[in-house]
Amino acid sequence: MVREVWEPLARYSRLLVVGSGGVGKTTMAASLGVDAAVSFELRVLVVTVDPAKRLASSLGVGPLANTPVEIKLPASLEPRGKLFAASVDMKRAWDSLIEKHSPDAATQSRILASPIYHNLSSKFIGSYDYAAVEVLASLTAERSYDVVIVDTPPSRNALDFLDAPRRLREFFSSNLLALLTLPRRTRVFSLATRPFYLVAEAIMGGAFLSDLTDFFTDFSRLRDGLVAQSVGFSDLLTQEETGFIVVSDPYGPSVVEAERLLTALARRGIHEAAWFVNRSWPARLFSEEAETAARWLGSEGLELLLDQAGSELDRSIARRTVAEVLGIRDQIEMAHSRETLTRIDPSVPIFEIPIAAEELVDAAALARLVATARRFDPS
Amino acid sequence: MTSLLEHQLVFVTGKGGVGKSTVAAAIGCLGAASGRRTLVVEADGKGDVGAIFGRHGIGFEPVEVLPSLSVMEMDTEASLEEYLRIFVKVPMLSKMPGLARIFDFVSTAAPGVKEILVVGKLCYEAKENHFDLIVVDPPASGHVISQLGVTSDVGDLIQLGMIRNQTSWMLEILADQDRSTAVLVATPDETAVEESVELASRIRSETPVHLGGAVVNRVIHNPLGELEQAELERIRSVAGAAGQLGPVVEAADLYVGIATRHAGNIATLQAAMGELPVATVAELLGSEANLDLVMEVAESLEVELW
Repeated sequence: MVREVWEPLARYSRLLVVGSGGVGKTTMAASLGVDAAVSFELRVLVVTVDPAKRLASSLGVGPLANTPVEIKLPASLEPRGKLFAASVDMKRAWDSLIEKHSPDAATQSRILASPIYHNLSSKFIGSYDYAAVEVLASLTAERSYDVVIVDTPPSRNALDFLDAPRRLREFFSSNLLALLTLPRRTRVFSLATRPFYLVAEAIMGGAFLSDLTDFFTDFSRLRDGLVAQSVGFSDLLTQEETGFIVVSDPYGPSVVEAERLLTALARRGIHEAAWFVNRSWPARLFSEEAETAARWLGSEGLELLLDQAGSELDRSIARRTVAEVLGIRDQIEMAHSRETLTRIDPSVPIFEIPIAAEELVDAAALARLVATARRFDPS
Repeated sequence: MTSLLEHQLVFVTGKGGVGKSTVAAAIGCLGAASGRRTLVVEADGKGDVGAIFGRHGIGFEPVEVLPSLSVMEMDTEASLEEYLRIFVKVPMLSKMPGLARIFDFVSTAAPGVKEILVVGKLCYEAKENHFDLIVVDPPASGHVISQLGVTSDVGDLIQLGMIRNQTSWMLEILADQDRSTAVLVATPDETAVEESVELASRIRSETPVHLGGAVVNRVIHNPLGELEQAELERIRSVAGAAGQLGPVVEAADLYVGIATRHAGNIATLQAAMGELPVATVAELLGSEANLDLVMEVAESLEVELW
């Protein structure tokens, strides 16, 4: 049976899962991947750019690498397609970028051997995002998968990922790079640039400064290739086949954040596919019927329990338990932002992904998650 | 063991979305309430901590938000300026018009320099004794390791220069377990716990700072004891007779199920932490990160904090 959730998603061959930290992006990506491979006769790839090994652990496999591996789905799920998974190894992704765009072997080996490169590729803010887009692009170019689902990096700002290609271009066109490579291009320092080097030298030492300028002189030779490629990356993210899924939890602050993210995505001309409200409490808990039941338990139900209780202790336990049980529902009802979700008129369909008591650590549990997703019904 | 609030520098670490800023602000409140001159430093300068106290646009200069409690936002450019003024002792340089550009150069291109400026400022404040307790709310996991580990890393890259000379006194402060400590913040989900265990081992192996303990945030505690659990079964049978109790009992079952899962994951974290204390903060479903929440978190931490 094809789930309701695929209705708005099936038209995309690339699905990017975005949202702020802690909302369950990785779980959503994994769960969609499993269900796509179960429901459709397709080759499905899930890519995680999470440096922690969360996807691997939720799929119940060992560490993943840049090269996709097939995930054997349990026969009990009767999968119609195939599932593959990969994780972005940032260092390897950058190495391959350097290899691809170096003008000659000498430049390439100098860059790869430089301790500055090592440091930049593993720590430079934004380099993770860029590496992730690179992996997405090369996996898509292969055309060996029908659907690629991407779990975007855990960053404070979900948009960092989208801006990575543009930021790389900005770096190459900035004065900064010109300054960094100046000493190698000319021995003549102008009055304007001299103080710059004086301070930089005072802070970092002359030897390190000259290592830096050497490195960036080499690195700038990759400019044309990297810039051309990054334009392609920007296009990739806005193409018709690329859809974005925004994930939030069901509580006020996160719902507001997701709404903001959707607006920002729309402004960038990005295709929004769906909004997943993860860890949603079942809609039944908020029904008229639940309201009536809670009222009954607090009055007649409690009377009934008290009548049946044999001792004062039993009666006290009955009162306490009823209070706790009602308290749980009250707490959930107050926190769950159904009103906000009802008020919002998003351009995308909202799906509630149910909160689970069980740990989501195997393919079957992940498949159940998407299978039980329901279109948000404000009534 | 030195109690948490007796340290000069407390680094609140953990991955994004676990509530680091809330926990950092709560520890700050406890510090101030105990009479310590306390500073909460928001290292990524996004303004979350200031916003908790209803202050926006707090900058590099500490602003007192409550009695004895100040907040500042890290700004590497301002930090560089201060650094040049204090250590290079060339006031002309710090007023130079091209400084912003130099800052770009230094922070973007030179590995570790930005981190050193952050850690350097923190250690400097600790050394100068303007505050008894400095609580640091650093950026998410990966970056905090680079920041704290940078004092030793930079030595390998930069052989000479001022920054090289600066790292040894910083290292001394960071490595002193009576002065500096790291607190791990986690949520009680299985994957989050796994990641925290990994982060704990990275703090131990890649940074000079000693790990002091963990705070598990957003824990759903089981409100039902054994007797109440048995009573719930009785309610279920009464409900069968009355019908329609379904959704109410279902909510309780789901909640208790999640509580049981959380308890198991906390036990796993405790096992990985060994002797180190693990405190818990209850889930306050859907709360905004505001002062009420911070006060509530502080109250519950006060009992469990080491």
